[in-house]
Amino acid sequence: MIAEAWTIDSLREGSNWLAHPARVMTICAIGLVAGLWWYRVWTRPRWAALLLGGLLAVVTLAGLDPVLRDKVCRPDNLAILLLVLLLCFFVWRGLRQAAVNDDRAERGEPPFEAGADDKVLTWPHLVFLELVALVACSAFLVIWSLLVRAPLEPPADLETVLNPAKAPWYFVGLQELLVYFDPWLAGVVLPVVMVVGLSALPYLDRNPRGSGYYTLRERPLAVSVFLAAFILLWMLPILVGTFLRGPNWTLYGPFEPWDPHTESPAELVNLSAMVWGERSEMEAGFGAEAALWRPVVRELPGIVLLGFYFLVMPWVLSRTAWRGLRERMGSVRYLVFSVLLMGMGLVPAKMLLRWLLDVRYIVALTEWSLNI
Amino acid sequence: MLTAAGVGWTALTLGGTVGVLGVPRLLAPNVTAEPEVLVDIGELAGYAQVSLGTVDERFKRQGFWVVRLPEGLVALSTSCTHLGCLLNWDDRDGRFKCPCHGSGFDLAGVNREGPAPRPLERLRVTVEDGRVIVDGRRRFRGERGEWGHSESMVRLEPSAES
Repeated sequence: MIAEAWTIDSLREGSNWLAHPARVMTICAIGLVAGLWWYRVWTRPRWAALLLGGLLAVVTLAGLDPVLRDKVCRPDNLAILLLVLLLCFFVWRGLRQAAVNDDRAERGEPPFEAGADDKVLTWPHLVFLELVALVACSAFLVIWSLLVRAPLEPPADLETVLNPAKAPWYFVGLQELLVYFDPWLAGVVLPVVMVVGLSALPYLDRNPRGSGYYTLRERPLAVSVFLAAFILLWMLPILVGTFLRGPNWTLYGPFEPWDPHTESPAELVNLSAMVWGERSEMEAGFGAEAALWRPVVRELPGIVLLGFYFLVMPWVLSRTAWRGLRERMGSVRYLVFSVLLMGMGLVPAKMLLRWLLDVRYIVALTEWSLNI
Repeated sequence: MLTAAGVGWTALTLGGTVGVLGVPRLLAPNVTAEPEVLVDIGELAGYAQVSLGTVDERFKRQGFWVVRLPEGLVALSTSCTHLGCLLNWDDRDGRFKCPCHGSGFDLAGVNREGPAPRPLERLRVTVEDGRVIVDGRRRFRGERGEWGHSESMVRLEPSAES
């Protein structure tokens, strides 16, 4: 018995240690690369069923722990559990179809979707199906709202705020992003760049292949960039923010109770302070009468770093690894594409700087409320 | 005149006019939770007795804490400099903590943990007839070098502790 208790405790502790966002993101990134590399193997129904069974077994076993169960089984979190299941299913489904089509393409056959002559009229076939879906979804929502209490919170009070104060589940990812960025960047600039970037996709990517059928071999870059952004930068922050953030938005392992008295998180410093040496942050600010260029000079290391990241790196890539890509896309398209991609990469890069080096801001023009 | 098109266009015009006129109303909030800007927080002599590092939470509803620092008395704003969430005083850690994104500020109001880019604002404090008056209309920002201003702090002898 003692040995068993020891095993379970060490399993809990190991999971708590692994659940730091840095490790979770690394594990997920490795999993994603492996999943894309061996997509023809694991998407076979037998393997996929085994994976799903394993996942459900782990979730069920973990759910035996009262601490974790209490965090997961909140009414607001049901949607997230559903989301995880649907995400797994649709990633499997897309990659499975891609594997089937890529095998067919290698044998010189047309894609699976091209063979079937299943064109039908919108009315009545599609509209009827839509009606059925509408009724079914409404029934599901009505039953859900009857069975699960709405996660309402106490009336607003000027003196007390819920701790932790969490956004609705679909915005927790954005809230988690705000931990690493300035409000105007995480709340305004990054979402706008996302929308603009998604809208620009049809103009950037004019590759006709993969249109109307699933494939990975014919468009490896497009599929992997999309999956990486969606899973690692949108879904994962939602899960981290919901299940791993406790009082004072501190990180807690899945099996750690949300006791507000845990040790303080690391003290952060700006990149400029790291370069020029530590100094009291009170004295770091320049008075209103100080010359405008003084904060810029102070933040020069970060500005140079960002300039290198956004300008020099795409240029170097266009001469080396992405030479063919630049030639196919043309200079203007490649420029827009690379700036968007670098902007996307800034998110995990900034997270890494925070986790590994305790960097608060790369460029901290606090005098002008401009922090990156 | 009473054609369907006539009625429709009239309704559209009226509705549009009301809508446009309503925009300024929409932009003005229904609630103004402005804290009282001038607060008499009590005798200076009383605060001189307080031990160093004490945080007075009585004025949190008015939007500030009164903190006894080694050099004197300051009134720290209670709103986080990241996104304006209401902070909590955590006496175990000796930090002002934000429940929204994990920022933490030390006793002097300097941002130490989390994404907060600048220190907490200090409200103007003055002494009139031996009483300390906090004035929320004037705020001193450390990152702009304003904490050296004489009204950002009521200077007290550090010997009060002893």
